[in-house]
Amino acid sequence: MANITIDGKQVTVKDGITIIEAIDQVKTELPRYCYHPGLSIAGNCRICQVEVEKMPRTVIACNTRVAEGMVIHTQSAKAKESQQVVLEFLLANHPLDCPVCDQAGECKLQDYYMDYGLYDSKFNEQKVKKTKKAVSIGPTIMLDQERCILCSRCVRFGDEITKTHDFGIFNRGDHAELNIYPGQELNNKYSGNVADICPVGALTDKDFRFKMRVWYLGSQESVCPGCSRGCNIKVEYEKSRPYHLKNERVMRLKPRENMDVNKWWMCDEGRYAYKSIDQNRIQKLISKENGVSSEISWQKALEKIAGLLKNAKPSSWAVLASPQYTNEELHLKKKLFKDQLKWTHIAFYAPGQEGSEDNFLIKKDKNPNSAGAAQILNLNGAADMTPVIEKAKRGELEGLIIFGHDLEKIYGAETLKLIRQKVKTIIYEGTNNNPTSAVADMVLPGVSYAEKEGTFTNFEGRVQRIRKAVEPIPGTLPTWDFLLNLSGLLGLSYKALRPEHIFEDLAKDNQAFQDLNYKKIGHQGMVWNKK
Amino acid sequence: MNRAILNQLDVEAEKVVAKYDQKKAATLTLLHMAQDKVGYVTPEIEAWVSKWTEVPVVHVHEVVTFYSMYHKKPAGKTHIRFCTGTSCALGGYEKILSHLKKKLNIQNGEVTKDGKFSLEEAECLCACECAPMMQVGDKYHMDLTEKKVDQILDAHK
Ligand code: SF4
Ligand code: FES
Repeated sequence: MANITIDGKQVTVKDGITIIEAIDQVKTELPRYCYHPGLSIAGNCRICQVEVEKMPRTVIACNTRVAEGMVIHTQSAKAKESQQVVLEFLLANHPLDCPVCDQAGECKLQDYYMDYGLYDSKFNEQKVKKTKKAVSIGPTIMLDQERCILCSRCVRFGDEITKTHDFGIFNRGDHAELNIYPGQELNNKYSGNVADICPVGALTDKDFRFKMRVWYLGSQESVCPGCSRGCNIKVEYEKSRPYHLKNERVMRLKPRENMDVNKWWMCDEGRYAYKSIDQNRIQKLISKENGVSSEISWQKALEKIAGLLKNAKPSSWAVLASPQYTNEELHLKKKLFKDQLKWTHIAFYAPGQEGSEDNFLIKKDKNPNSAGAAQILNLNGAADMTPVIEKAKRGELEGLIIFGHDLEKIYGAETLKLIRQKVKTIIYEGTNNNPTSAVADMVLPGVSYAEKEGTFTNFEGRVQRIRKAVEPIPGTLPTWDFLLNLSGLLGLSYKALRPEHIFEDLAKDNQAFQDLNYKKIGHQGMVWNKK
Repeated sequence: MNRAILNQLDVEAEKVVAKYDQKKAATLTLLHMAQDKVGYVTPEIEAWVSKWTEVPVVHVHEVVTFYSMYHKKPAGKTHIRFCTGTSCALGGYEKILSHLKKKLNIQNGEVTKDGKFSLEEAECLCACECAPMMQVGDKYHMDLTEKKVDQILDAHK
């Protein structure tokens, strides 16, 4: 342990850490470009200058280790002057066209100029222009060489995180430019992260570029539903200009730091999967009667379903739950269908849907809550939907409630056709249109993960919260809300008003969730109690 | 063609790499070896060096573009580096350089039509005491005059 002083505050920190790490621990502001806690130290941008008493010159905080008794100043005149001078150099060849740069608003050059710069430019020379302006370097990223400050974060990301060695800095001095190897393209499963870590507008995300100024964005913490890792994310949505991009609300996803799950990163597959939140959504509650479809109210639909379920023989109906749903929703499904109605045909696992996997973040189970589903529904190894489907095909089922699954995708169009013929009533609940919703007798519009509260349990048993970023589309209802209402009509009275209450009930009901609550789960999740 | 040359160089490369503690230390040497044979550094050479040194090819390319003594495009059979440093300027290199350019009929960075010479204007080559000077191939020629330049060129024809 080392006792040091940062801006007059005495702190004890671990031996051998760098000054910048100590500064971050006490949450003091210090500018930085090349330093990133997830990458090796480069120490090339020089902006993180601090004054250390008894040292003749200011030093860079990211590459100087703390030592016993060090007295560090981040705000002294000497430190500030150094920071300012370095910034002036960094901006020497940088274009001054922030109004047309997409990074504006989240650019560290802009921010630091306002915080640490504010000098009058002494630079009379011509700026050295770099060769490549706004070129595509792969499916996801655009490169603008003249905006690059050569911090080498992207280079190190390629070398150390993805090991794909994409970027290099070519030529030298004023002419040094960042690029990928000639003739190659940036195409790896984590490429989007380089736009996040690039502190300036040199690497921008094609998907987001010029879609919206960042100051119009709202941001909400959530968890990526793309696979069972459950990377922590921020859902960034259009906040204040509803007339802009009318039917698109979610603008982008960004990774959110969680050292136990995804560190600072997320994969491209997850990053760009947000489009289904705003596209191809089921928006109307449709009920078919004698071959005629009509739109009905939730009230009517609930009564109708309650009527059907009241009279249903427990063994002649089946429910296909899904690991795409929250713990709370799965808990309500269990309570209603298993405990209350005593149905025996309950399943959630869709066979053959595994995707690719790597030894970094991506898991082959593309569901965010398989662990939760297995734990809550407790089907003793009978989670596979196939036996239910076989039963349906043989005409042994009268009714089928499907949550989110597209049977055509899993079992093929023929099977779906056959099931349609053999099963009298098919009720579909989900967010997006698909061939299964198209043939259902009743289609209930649900809400996406960005429009509701709840928790997912990742593959390691970490229970993590998703939060509502945008309001549900009018006419849609969160599944937990629908299930609460339906349970009420079927004589199962609940005092729950919100997912948080449902979770409390789940915690009482299920050993694995014991002692957990929303407050404890917090922003970083918590591992459940399962032994 | 390059492939065949590089295959021949493999034997030597193995010896070079063995000399160093770390394979990556052999990068510069291997680049020079291959450039000497091929004339300039091609993408194949970069890949070959990358294979031997285990330095990712993009970083080999960084090295190649960093140093001015690696040619990124074909050079003439004889490469001339003409010093344009301060001492050579004081010594009046400008007249000699324009004479050389006229004689070869090329500008800075170009190769003569017959492929025999290429010209590169260089910063100080560290021979100020005998300015003006130029480097032809590996050899320094000093205290240049127009006549001297003619003789040197003739000798290399
Ligand atoms: S492109 Fe961005 S991340 Fe990469 S070196 Fe330049 S400024 Fe740094
Ligand atoms: S952040 Fe310390 S030198 Fe770049």
